[in-house]
Amino acid sequence: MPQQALTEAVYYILLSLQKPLHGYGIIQNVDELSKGRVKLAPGTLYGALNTLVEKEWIDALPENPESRKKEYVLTASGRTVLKEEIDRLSELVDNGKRLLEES
Amino acid sequence: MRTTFKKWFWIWQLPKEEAWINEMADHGYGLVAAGRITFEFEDIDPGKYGYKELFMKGDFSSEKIRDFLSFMEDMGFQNVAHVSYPDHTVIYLRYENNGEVPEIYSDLDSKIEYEKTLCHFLIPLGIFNILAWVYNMAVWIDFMIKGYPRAIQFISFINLAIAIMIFAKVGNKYQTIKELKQERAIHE
Repeated sequence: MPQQALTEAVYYILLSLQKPLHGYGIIQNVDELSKGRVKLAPGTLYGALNTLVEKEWIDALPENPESRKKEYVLTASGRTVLKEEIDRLSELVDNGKRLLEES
Repeated sequence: MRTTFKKWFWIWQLPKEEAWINEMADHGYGLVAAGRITFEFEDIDPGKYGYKELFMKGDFSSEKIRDFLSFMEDMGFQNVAHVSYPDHTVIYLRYENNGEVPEIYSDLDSKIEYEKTLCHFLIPLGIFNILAWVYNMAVWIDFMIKGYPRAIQFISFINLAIAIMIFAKVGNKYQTIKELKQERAIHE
């Protein structure tokens, strides 16, 4: 079965977690990556992180005693999902460009 | 200095209550504790803090809510008060006011789930009030037949009135959910 499209929030969260980050770091990174267009609200991020941990697309790292903040990182299966999504998005963009140029 | 105000809001009036609490904060009263009808404030610099209210499933002491509050604290939202309802909790969060009102949920799925939480709480409450009204009316009719009219049973019309208000609000919420789903079908 082809992979369902990821939401923009999930796509950017996965993209942000190639190195370990805590919640606030993810929000800042997504803001930076999208040049301020995507604003992740904390409640949305919390729900998404829990879902992604359940799906094993990301891992919650053991808590650092120096910092209470929980950090997350992309897993191998998360990376696969991300690559498939990039392929899907590329197909959308390529088809869009080709058909618009032809018309 | 601490000041206590008494004010009633229905459970479905959280946005109205939140607006009032923020208005109080603009006047230098910062929320520090809340009950069903009591709100305790302490003096703060006017407009220093903003407040958000959330209606959540689960007890305040549950792992789910504790974990959520810990996450929100990392995000700059401090839990200042809560009010418990059966298997549900109203959470009061405080944030440093920088002129922007932050959203708690930015995606449509989370917004839909949030609206559903209140509906799932209200529907059994509405049914309970309908049943209470029907029961009291049946008792009243029984007494009438036996020749002992008891006008007190008419107080049960309050149950009917509450049930009507609840179901009107639930209808309203389902309309919002429908609109959010239509939006999601196009944009997410």
